Amino acid sequence: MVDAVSIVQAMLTGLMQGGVYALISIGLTIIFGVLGIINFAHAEFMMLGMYTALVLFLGFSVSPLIGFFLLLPLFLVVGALIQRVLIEPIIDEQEDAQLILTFGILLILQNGALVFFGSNPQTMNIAYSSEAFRFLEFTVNQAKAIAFVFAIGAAGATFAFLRFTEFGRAIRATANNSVAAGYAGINVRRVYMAAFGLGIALTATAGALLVMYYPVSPTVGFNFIVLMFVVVVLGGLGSVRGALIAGLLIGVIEALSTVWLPLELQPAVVFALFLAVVLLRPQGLFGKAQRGV
Amino acid sequence: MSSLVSDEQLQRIGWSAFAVFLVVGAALPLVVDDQFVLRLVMFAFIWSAFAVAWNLFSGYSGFISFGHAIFFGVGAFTSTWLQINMEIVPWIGMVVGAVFAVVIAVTIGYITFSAGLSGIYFALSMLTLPLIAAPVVTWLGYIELSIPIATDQPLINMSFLGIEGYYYISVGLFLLTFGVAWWVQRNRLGYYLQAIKSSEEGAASLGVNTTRYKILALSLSAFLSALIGTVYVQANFIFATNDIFTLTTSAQPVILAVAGGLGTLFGPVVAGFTLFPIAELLREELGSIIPGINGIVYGFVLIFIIIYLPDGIYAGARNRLFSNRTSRNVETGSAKGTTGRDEPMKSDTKEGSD
Repeated sequence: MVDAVSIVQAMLTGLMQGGVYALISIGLTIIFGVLGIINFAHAEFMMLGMYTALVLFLGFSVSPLIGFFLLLPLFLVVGALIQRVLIEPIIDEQEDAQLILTFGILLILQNGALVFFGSNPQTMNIAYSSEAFRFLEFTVNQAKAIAFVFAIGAAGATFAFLRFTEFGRAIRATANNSVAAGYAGINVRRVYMAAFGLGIALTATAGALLVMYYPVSPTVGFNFIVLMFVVVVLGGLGSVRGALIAGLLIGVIEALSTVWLPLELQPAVVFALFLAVVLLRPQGLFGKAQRGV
Repeated sequence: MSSLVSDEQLQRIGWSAFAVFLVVGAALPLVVDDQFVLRLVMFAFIWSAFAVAWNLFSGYSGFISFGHAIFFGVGAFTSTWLQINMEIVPWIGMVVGAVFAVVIAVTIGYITFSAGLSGIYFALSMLTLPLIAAPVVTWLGYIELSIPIATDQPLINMSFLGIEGYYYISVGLFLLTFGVAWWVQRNRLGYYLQAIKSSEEGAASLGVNTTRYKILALSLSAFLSALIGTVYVQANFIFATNDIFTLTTSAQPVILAVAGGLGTLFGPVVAGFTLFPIAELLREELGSIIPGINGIVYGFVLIFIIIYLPDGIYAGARNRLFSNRTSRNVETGSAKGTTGRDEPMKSDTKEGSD
């Protein structure tokens, strides 16, 4: 029998992890919503974010929480450049071409990381990754709790940016109808670059949070790629708010599954979730099948 | 738009070159002693066969699978397990494994196709299968299985002292796979897959049971991939779960088929005997300094092909050699405009930005 305490404990842990899942997935959903591009290499940018934060921490004693803010502009530029050079030429191509091209990016990033960092998983031994906040009978790992707060903060800021700023409105208009947005004087190409950069940057910063409690290796992306697509589909393709809610939900469900199932079968749980979502709710929880952010 | 050679002549040139290639391939062990060269060519046959098998489903239908390692691995694991635990010879084991692979193909095909999944959804469904299989097989206690040596009856036990035995089995398997792909292409199944690729709705509206033909093609592809998996581990003398059920294994046929020419008959073979040896030699030379060098090369090749040479190196090179037509939308012996990209009408084009 499993007692109520461990169930609540698992839900709490899952909620904390869900925050980071949400932030990773928001990047993906923005890219899909605005450019209509399926970025197969998305999890690799999270991996790059993890390594960058780790290098900053080990090499320059920069806390990952400062690294979080440094990574944002850095990966914004990286993402925008990749969009301009690699994604722009195939933006109107069919899905198979997009899949294969972004798969090529995945291969380069993953093997590139192997060259620079080796294949062994590395961890960040930071003070709060082994400390916990306690209340009643429950404990929450400090690193996870801090990551949660940062992730939710970043998600909220992104939402506000898209909703209330001029450029955010331009992004949403482009997602809604790129032709009409062009007629209205919006520089659609620049919006594409910015949106791709923003998507990459959010995911990379999520990596900086994740590395505080999750070991990084060149293939760490595989542990998250399916999960982030589950979140994006469940939240409704292109919906930032949907991805936030779905991310938290998936985090809780995943943590609950560990109460009953052996850890080795964890990937199977995520896969089962993926199938369940695409088969039962392909239009997402909130039923909006339209593209847009 | 005049061409220097007619399509029939091109076909004849292609088949003649292929015949020469086969003769050279078959005679190689008689002339060459170098074990390294023979192994390289043998693996070129194995991976080309895998790419042809992958192409038979994904290339012809347009449903890109990033998880064919599941079929390859299930075939390899089943035959190895049966050989070790039941003393069943690999010749029988490989067929049993291939049948298991078909069961998986039918199951996943039925679930995903009847739900109407395509594109990224199908790709992810496939991608995850080997990623699930690896921890599950490890959890069951199988991390590495050594292939038993039984060279007393080499032909029966598929166990040889030298490399030549494995070499010829690989060539045979390659011919089988190629033959099946050739047959599919000229038969109803091939035409239906092409129709599905250009417009699944259109094919369905003409009364084609698209789900059934997709499952049929995926099963054929899975069956052949599983056979290839068995021969691969036999030639390596070891089944290592974390080497087989990986993205690297899944990616190999995708890379070769896309680079050679998606949906073409000869394309995967051309890439298998050009790109693969180059990447292997690079790994051999530089692998200790730059461990992921072949993966990086493959990544750049994929990006280059998709942006600049969407019909693949085979069609691209052929058209440059024999005709002055542009490389797009040329009859490649199979699917027309192989990637099926006939500039689809899209409402949100980029023109609005200028």
